[in-house]
Amino acid sequence: MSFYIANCLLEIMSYDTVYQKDKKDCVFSKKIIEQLNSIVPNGVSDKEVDRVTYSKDYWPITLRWLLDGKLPALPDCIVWPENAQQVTEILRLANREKIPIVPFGEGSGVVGGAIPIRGGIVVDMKKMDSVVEIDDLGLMVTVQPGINGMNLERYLNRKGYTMGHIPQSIYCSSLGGWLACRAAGQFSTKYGKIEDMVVALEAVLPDGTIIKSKPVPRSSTGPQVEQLFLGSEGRFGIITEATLKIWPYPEERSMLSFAFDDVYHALEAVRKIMRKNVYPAVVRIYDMNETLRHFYETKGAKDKCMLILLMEGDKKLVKLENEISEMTCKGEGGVACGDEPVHHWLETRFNVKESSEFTPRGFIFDTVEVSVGWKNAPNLYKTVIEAMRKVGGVVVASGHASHFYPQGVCFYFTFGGIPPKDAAPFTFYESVWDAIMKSCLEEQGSISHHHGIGLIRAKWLEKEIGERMQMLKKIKSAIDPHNIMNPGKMVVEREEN
Amino acid sequence: MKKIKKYAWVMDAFSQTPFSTKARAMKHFLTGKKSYLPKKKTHADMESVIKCALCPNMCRFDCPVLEAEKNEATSPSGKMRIAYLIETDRLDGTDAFELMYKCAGCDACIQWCPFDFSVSDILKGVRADIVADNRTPEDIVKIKEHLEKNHTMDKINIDVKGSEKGDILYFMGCTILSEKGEIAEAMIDIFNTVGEKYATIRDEWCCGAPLINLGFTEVFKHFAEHNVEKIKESGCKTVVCSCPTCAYMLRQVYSQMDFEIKAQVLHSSEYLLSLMKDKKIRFDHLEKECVYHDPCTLVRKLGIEEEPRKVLENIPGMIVKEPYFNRKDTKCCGRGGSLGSTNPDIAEKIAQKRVAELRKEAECIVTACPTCALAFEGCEVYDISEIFIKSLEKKNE
Ligand SMILES: Cc1cc2nc3c(=O)[nH]c(=O)nc-3n(C[C@H](O)[C@H](O)[C@H](O)COP(=O)(O)OP(=O)(O)OC[C@H]3O[C@@H](n4cnc5c(N)ncnc54)[C@H](O)[C@@H]3O)c2cc1C
Ligand code: SF4
Ligand code: SF4
Repeated sequence: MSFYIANCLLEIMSYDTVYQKDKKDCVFSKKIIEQLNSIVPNGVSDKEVDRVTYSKDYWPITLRWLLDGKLPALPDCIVWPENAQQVTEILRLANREKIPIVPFGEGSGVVGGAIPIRGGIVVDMKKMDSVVEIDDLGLMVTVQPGINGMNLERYLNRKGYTMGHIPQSIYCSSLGGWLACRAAGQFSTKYGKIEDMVVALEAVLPDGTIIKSKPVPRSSTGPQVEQLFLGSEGRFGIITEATLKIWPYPEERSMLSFAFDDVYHALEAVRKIMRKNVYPAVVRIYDMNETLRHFYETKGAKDKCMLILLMEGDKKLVKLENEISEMTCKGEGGVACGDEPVHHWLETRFNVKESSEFTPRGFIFDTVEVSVGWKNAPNLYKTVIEAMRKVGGVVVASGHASHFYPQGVCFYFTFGGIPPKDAAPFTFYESVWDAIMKSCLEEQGSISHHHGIGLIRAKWLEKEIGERMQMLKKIKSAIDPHNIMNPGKMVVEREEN
Repeated sequence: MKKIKKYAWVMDAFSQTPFSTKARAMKHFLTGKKSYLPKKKTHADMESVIKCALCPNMCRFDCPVLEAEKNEATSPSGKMRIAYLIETDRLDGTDAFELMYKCAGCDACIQWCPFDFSVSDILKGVRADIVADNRTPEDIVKIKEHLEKNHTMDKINIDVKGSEKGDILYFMGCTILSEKGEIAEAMIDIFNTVGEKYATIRDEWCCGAPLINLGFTEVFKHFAEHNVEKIKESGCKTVVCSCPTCAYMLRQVYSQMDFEIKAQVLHSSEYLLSLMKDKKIRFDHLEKECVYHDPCTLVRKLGIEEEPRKVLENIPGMIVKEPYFNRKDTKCCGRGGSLGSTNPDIAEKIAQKRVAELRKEAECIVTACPTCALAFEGCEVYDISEIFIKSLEKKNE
């Protein structure tokens, strides 16, 4: 029997709340707020304006809902802890009272991961944003998870380092969100994804236990259970500290770009570069539509597919990487377009305008990233583009490849369109997603490379991971028997359906 | 032509779309926007409010209010989402309205915004709508009422009077009149030393910036009228302001709102540098190490970053350090955008952060804005005019 009583939405009559039906009971008692207040003095709010604010993350469909006067959901309150001990006490209280907990970084997640669909307590981690230590000898930084990405990178740059993790959302996302979603930065081909950068983690389990691993390069001490938190999307507990790899700020950068007749030749060029164990930091292949979108001013890019490369690090190494990359691209038929397109990309890479420009015009759009081995890469690209185009109402269906490995590649697809007559926005939106997920699985791809599962991919996860789903569920119920952590996301328990 | 090329990818996509979808998409593309605008006429620029509300908050990391509050609601896009809900009558209540005043007017957002938005400017329209609907929070109304009655933000605490007429009119501004009289004294000393025929306004009124900020556009007009008249009466050719906000108001906002000032309006840093250039003045050695703080309005609204630096660098013996965040990348002192009056606790947190940052470079802070100097009180802090006069005073000793 649940002691948790969630607040009715009576006072906010002008809203539809999309996930309202998922909430169980009513009236979040004032006693809980008082108890939270005694744990985090001056760090609790149940004001309507704050609850409305924390009703969404950046899942694109919620933008349309915002304009339509719909909120995805409403939390009962928001708490801002300042240290791991307070997090422990909050989780103990929630566990005792069986109240949902939703960890919140900066709400830039694009799959609905931070939406409090069952109400409860949103735990905003932003007050835990200190840099604890830089270890210059070991090239490591220890940081709290609430730190904003750009503020962390600026801090490191000032001290002469970089983390090499520059997602497009670096201005608007936090370390905790990166870890919980297995994020990937634009420079990932050299520096890796966030999970490749983690050396140690501290986290609080739902029963309040604090777990912490050692900042050592490697160890053979059984499975590293703390790694369960990478990609955990707030389902296992709350990450409260991380030690990450850093690098001396690169002394040299060099840039190249090539126009190819099609995506496939460009992919082949990059595959061959990777095979030589050469890792440019930035590698991006744009299909024809995206080349037109981003490089309309580049001579020789019309009706072509652009490949841009950026190498950085030690001068001599960069020179060598440059030579090898250039030779390989030319060998695959690439026509050199100089460094200007790369400068253009560097200057415009954070200009995120489309959602603001197209949503008010009735367009529904999203981006979907998947990964695939080289063997299946060409087919996957072709199949997904065709699948998107087949969905009635789709206007834009395009893609680029932006994270590369000797084993394969991440494709990043974009779709946009108008719901067909009589179709609800979400129905249209979901049908394009379904088409992409289905064709990705058919072509042996993985349904997500770095955005995570959240709400939109939850129904596809079992198809992706098969029997491992049962294992994941068992781990989840062992760690979180009352299912307080971010319920309804990623691993959907049977009783929740 | 450039715009056509920019959207060529959309046209390309359209061309591959079946006709029925194409026709509907085109219709939405051209007319869709209207359906999300409020039916009523608003002071707020609703298209900007909507764009900003839908943005992933790309400037958030540099917003001093969010940095101090750590609450999503106070983030730039967070404020705009709530503004949209207020403007479309979906949300009301004191907390929502009060949120609309949690902005330091620093324009850090513009530095990163793909649309060149200043959330602070957009908020002025939202606040004007709140005023028009009679829903202004009580504390905000009190500020307006106080201004209507007393004409300056606080009690006047100085007794600095120039003549009523002169070539130069020194416009002091509220912060100097009530809290930072020493800056006016320094400026008057400078005028006297160089033999400038200067005037001051006997009943100087607030430049009106707080009124515009808080949405009281109509009340602002009386203030502008009064000041324009007094400036005219002084017969001055040049108005000199120590306060960047006064300078910005008199130089740009007044004329945008059809209040014309014929005289040239200068910020004190521009005036002091011109004195140096005209060689009207020579400095003695002033052994001093300081860090220069760029005031947001001076550097971002007026684009003045070199002048104060040159003034300081020209003083022999002066060592001027730069903070890590300088020029257009400066960080707010916390008291801009009337935040010092509307949300003093937030203003104080922002100030503390900036002071810590500045003090990494030097103990002594020099700035070119009385409000910044006030925000940093408790530290060794000077306006450039005070440093200027200090180096002159030495000579006279
Ligand atoms: C414009 C834009 C560009 C983007 N570009 C990229 C990109 O280049 N690469 C990329 O990988 N992603 C990108 N994203 C997606 C998004 O930025 C990432 O998913 C990011 O990791 C989310 O971070 P956040 O702090 O905003 O997390 P939130 O959205 O607040 O939360 C995301 C998930 O993490 C959980 N969580 C947050 N903090 C903690 C914690 N301390 N402990 C446990 N769980 C926690 C939440 O419960 C939620 O499930 C982009 C998003 C946008 C809007
Ligand atoms: S003007 Fe400054 S305080 Fe206001 S929203 Fe922009 S960055 Fe934040
Ligand atoms: S000011 Fe610009 S960058 Fe900042 S949230 Fe608004 S639209 Fe986005």
